[in-house]
Amino acid sequence: MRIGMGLNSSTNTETLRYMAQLGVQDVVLNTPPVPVKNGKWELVDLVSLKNRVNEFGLTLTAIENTQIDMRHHLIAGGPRFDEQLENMVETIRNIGRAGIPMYTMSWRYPRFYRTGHVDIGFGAQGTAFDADVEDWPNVIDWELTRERAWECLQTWVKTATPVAEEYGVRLGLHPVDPPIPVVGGVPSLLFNFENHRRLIEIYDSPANALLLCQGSFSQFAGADQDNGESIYDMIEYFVKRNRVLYVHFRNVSGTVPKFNETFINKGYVDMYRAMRIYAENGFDGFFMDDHAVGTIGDTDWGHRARAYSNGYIQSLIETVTDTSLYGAH
Amino acid sequence: MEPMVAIHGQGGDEVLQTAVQYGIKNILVYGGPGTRHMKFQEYVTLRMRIESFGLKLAAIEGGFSPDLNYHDVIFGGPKQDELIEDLLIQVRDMGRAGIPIYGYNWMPNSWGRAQPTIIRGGAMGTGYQYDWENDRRPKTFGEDMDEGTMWDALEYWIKAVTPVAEEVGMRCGIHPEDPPVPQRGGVPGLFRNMAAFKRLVEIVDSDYNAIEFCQGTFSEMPGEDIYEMIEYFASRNKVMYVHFRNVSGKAPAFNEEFINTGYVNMKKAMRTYRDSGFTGNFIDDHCPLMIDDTDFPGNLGGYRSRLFAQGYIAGVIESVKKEVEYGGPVDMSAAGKGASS
Repeated sequence: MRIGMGLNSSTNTETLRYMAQLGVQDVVLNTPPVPVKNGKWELVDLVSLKNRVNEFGLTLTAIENTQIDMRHHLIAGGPRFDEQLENMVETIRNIGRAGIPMYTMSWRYPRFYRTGHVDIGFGAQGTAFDADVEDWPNVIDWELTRERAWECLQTWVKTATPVAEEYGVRLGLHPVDPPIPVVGGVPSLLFNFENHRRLIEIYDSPANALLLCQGSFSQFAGADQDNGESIYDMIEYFVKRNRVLYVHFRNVSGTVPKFNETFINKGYVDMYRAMRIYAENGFDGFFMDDHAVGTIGDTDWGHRARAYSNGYIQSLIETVTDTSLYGAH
Repeated sequence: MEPMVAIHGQGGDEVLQTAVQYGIKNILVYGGPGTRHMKFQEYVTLRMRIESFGLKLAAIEGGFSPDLNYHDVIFGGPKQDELIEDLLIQVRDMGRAGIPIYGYNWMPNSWGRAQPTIIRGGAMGTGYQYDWENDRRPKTFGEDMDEGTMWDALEYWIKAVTPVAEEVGMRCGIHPEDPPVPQRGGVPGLFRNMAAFKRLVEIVDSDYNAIEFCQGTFSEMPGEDIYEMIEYFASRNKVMYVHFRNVSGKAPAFNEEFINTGYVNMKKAMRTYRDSGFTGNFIDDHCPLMIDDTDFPGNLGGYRSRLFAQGYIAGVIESVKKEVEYGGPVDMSAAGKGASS
């Protein structure tokens, strides 16, 4: 088990240098600034991206999400489905050719959102979601049934996974966040335990896997109950089957329909217990801090809040496994 | 066992609000007895300011020993009694103001380092390297000071201060010599090894005659076992609080490190405190200087570097407490057995 960190829409020097100092072993670039050429990402641009990370002594382990307009018809069954499917599969080939071992994405359209922020203590801020406030307009101008949405996902998994295997890439899907069944008129699929089990059964391969956003899984209805489908049960289920690429290790106050994000060690999830489950089931991926809470004097990106989460995660990995991340003892 | 953070001066709003937001409830303030002679009312005001943020003023740390005006206390000079009387007034003022702990040192040369070391990713840790064969440093006081005389003066002080500390309910304890070397500039480093601390705590057998346990410095002591020292002093309730930082090696050559990249196994250290019945607090102490970091109004290291250490400390405290009910860490040799891959 290793320590990772992600950076969104950028490869800025300050943050990569910050990661190098904190000992980050796996870098994740979310929606990196790669130009979209004819609907695809080209090999030359991906190699350049990888080299940019290498310059800091860091390793680019995963790319998380392409630009949404490369894949919204693919996810939501639009008229350009076939074209986007073909371009995304070619993009996967290029990611593999560039030597980047993981590609993950949120299988949802529209993407991540919240309805506001709340005070999580003494002026610190966490994002919040309240289904009563949620009010997305219809974002697609075509009809999409739930059955058709599943067909789209199945086609993607069955088409892309063998290509990914051939090119040495593991694919992982991120749950919908917030995990609710319909947003903006688009039926979402990956909002509960059952549908994730169904996802990994579409194609039996370690390359058809999950980006286990533990934050989002913790927000699933019932994840806080001792009902056989708790957050701890879900982690165990997917790790045991070797279907987790890496983990967004963040904490929340509760589940849908109303929750907020909070400090990593202050939510309802017992992070120590969670970390034990990854270790006990032989997880060999990495953990990253994901969203930063807002604290006084911090940068927009949250360099302070992320340093705290990163240090906390490092200590949990090391204490649970009784090893050193850096072979220090 | 809880995290604590150390600040300079009154603590601006930003640093106190940071502490309370991150759940670091215990505040240590650098200061205490010395030439400036802070008064009772000032200590009360300081405590109330910190409490107004939802925090606790858990300790004051400083030391009059590097202050030239107090050197007769350290070396047993002619003004020894007069100065001790002055110091005891200050100690009483602190205790009566509700300060529970006072950590100080016995280092007339203060602490010392030499060349810093570039550590991970361009960050910088303090370093110490010394060539003992070619010691050309000037004598601090123009001559070699006598170690026996210093011990006599220390004993005199401990016997004077401990009853006062007990009376006002404020524990007092001494920080080790940093770097822990036999002498610097002709001044013996009294607290450079385990034997010296055993001797200290036996001068007066009281919880109020204790140790400011800088684990970093204890880790730098040549020939000593850090876990044995933690166990010995923590189990005797001689540890007031801990400076939880890590180093690459021992004197005379070492450098400071990130909290989990030094030679000390911090998990094992924390388990040792737990098993020894320790219930005090942990500060990050010195942190590496990180590029692009913002200044923190405290010891070495900016906000980012310090919050990294604080996150690590919070996690390792939580983990070693919780692992008890599981019977210890996960047995990794058995992990993943039965997995489908």
